[in-house]
Amino acid sequence: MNFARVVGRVVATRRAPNLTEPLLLLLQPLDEDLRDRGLPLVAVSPVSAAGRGELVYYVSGSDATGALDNHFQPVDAAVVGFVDGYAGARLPASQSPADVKGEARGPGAAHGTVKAAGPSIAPTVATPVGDEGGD
Amino acid sequence: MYLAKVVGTAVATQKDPNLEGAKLMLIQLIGPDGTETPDLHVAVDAVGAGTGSVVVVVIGSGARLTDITSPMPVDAAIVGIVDSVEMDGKHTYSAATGFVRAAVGVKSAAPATGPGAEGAGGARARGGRAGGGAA
Repeated sequence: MNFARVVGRVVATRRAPNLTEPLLLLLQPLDEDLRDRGLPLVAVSPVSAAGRGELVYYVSGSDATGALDNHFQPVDAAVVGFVDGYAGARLPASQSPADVKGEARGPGAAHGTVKAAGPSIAPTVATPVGDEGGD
Repeated sequence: MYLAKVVGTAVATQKDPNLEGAKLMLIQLIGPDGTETPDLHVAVDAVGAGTGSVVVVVIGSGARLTDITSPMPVDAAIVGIVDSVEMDGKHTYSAATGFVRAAVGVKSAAPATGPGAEGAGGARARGGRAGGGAA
């Protein structure tokens, strides 16, 4: 799984009929210093509609379909979890954790945990993948 | 998935029988602001894209997970035609008006003689090899 920041959205109404995931997010992959790494990519987000600036982790390749209710979808990247905090990443001096997260972080952020997004984050979305995302 | 621009078509008369009827498009990966990359691929079109279209392309085994490509030996498929792209709160692309070059930066205006052109040559060579493989 890879680490990325949500930077935007893509709308594509004309699509392969079996690509039923409604939401296409634009993800900027990040390195351990939370710097941009490589070309932004498009990913589905079956767990919840991640907001802009949010740190997420995603599965790429054919394994991405494992995160979907219907596995027969032409998808090669799927967001499977939201990053609540992290440890070990070397933040650039100019970038405080609050900047990265885009919102206030809890006191435990320094020893952050990575948690799969589940119903508590996405109460309106049925998400059977919440636990799988943490593997 | 990645954003890509359809830059041409590929024709191969000698090919795997399972590829009969496939529409092969030459696509160039792009960034959300229209930045061209040297990455060119031949992709099967599953949505009816035309040259110049901005599309979403699946790369890897996920490309086989469309109704059209399921029996085909392919590793890249066009699965959506992009209506709009939003990055960092700004619309960088809409199907009606194209890319807003000023939205992100000017670096996106890659000249035809840049690395993109080199990539095109490479892809052409690759296509040629595929076509002439049976000879």
